[in-house]
Amino acid sequence: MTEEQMLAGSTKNNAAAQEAFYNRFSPRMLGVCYRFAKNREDAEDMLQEGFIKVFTQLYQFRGEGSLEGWIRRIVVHTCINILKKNKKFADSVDIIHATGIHIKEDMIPAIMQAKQVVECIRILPLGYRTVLNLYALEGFSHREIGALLDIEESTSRSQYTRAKAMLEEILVRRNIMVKQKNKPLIKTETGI
Amino acid sequence: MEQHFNQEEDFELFLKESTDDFKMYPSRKIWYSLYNGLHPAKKWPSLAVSLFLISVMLYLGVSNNNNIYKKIDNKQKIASIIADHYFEDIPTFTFPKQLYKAAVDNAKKSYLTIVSASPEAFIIKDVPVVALLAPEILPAAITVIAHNANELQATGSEVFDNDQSKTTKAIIASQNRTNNSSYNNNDNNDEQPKTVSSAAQKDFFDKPIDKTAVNNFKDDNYTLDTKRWVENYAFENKKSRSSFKRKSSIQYYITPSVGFRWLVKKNDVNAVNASTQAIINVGQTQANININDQVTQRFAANFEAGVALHYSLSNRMRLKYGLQFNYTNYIIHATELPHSTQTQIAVFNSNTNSYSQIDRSSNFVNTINSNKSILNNSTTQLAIPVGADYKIAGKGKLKWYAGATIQPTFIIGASTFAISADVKNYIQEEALLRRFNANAGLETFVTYKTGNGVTLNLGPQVRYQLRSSYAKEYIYSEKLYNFGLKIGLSKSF
Repeated sequence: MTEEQMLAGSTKNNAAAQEAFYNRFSPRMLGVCYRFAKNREDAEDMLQEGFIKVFTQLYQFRGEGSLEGWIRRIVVHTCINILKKNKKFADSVDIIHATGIHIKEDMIPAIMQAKQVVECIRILPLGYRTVLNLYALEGFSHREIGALLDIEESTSRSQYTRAKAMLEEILVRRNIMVKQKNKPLIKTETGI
Repeated sequence: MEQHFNQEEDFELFLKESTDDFKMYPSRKIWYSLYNGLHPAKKWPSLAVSLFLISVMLYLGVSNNNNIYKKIDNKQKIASIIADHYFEDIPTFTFPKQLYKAAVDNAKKSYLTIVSASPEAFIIKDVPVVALLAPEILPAAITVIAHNANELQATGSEVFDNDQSKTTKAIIASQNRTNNSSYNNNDNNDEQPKTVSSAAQKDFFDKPIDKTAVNNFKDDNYTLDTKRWVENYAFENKKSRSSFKRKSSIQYYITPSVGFRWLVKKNDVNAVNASTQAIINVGQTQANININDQVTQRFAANFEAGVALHYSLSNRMRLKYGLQFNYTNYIIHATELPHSTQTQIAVFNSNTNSYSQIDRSSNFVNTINSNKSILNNSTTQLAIPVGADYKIAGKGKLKWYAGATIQPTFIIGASTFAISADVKNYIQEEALLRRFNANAGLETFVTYKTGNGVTLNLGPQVRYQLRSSYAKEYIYSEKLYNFGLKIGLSKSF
């Protein structure tokens, strides 16, 4: 089934088209949710809510831009709304506490390939992780992040700076990247 | 090849490239929930069909469970028996043919090593082939396979390659068990398969999953169901702890303390016969004198040690109960006599309904001179503390609790000295001791959770003996007090 067929069928509430649509896009979207969520169960909850919104708002997709990008934006907003609703973001970390966090080797799970980097991102405190996901990976500006998370734009910038520094340290410890004195980080070949 | 990040944007580009293609495969129930939400009218048929399928599977599982151990006559039948009798009632799971064939090919080349995630799932190290086996038939399946790995490798492809319409399942071979050749060499084809030892089975099931095994798991070759199943069970399926274990933890503790005692003359001391009263009056020059001022006593080192189980009722409250060993002690100063002397103790006589004296001999006098002796009044007790802790404050690693316990106790050993009726002598009289007693304890402590899952506990504790150390017949009541520092180590299950 082509993307157009899936889209047309899903808009008409055709079950087969919807299932094909879901199977096509859910793996990547679950990966997106997993970066925001505390655990897999939360990620699947976010995915389910996100796709409910996708299916119910599918008629609004005008074909401007990619369908996957449109779905992704809905899913990301759903993730943020769930985090805010559960007050997990508000209670998570504030900058002052986060600076004292000590990263231990045993926090970094043994995984492989792309999942390794994602798991390293997930080690970050929730506040850092959310800002980093939104800015570096989802393309939001700091102003948009501030509006989305009800924080100041400057707070978003400083959170991102600290998040990036912490992530670099995690990636170095996991041998995904190598730190050389007075030089930028170097990506290792295997990173595993 | 190394990549140099010359600009900040390169780091972000690296993150984006690493994570853009990252996929995870959600469990099927997500789609079912979505479907039911999008098509509510069709919910009931799917529920009915699900119930029907579950009933069929249960029926097949129960009916086949009585026929687990089959006679195996020859090599050909081994695999077919497995295929026919052990797999047909398994939840269906479709494998691409080339995936299965690869597993069999590998099995022919070398023994496969099992790495298991749970009793239900196995991943073969060399090839990410997985099989889902119903738990009730699992031991039998392993038994048969384990003892016939060699034959199985040769016949597996014959059976399954020729049968493409059936749902195919992977054959599992165990390197650990192929050396057990007693069954393989046995010409007696009627012999029942031997069971794998429980230690070997435990080792088999408890092996940690080797996730590097799925490095070769290429996305493009397999169906969504395969990928979803591998990810759900291979990566995420962990042994779940019971609700009880999740809320419980075990604590080992020791409480060094100092112990005091306080003597009180019983209020009904007026029920004393005349002769006893005369003896008592000898020791009491003034009315209502405090007996504690007439003896020389001081605190001594005590301790309690035990193990307790904590069960969390909520985020703030937890119950605790355990087993504890108490050592109580306080010191009396006296003077040892060169020879024993006759004295009396005052005890309640139920026949006369009054206190009367009983003759006893004593080696110690209640005075202090150059021959001062130190009398240790000690008991060793077994206690069963029961109580609760309440979290006052704290979050994360550091928390502050207050707690209380009641400890029924039983004395298992004692060395005690009772004061005579005239307060002039000490009598070693363990028969006066109350064997069963109870303590009440109050404590406050701070907990600190270390990185390796162990929690340290530290804080002061007060313990008070609820009933007199002595039997009710004795004219004096003795209460023991303890002030100590509790040091504990807790660990979750």
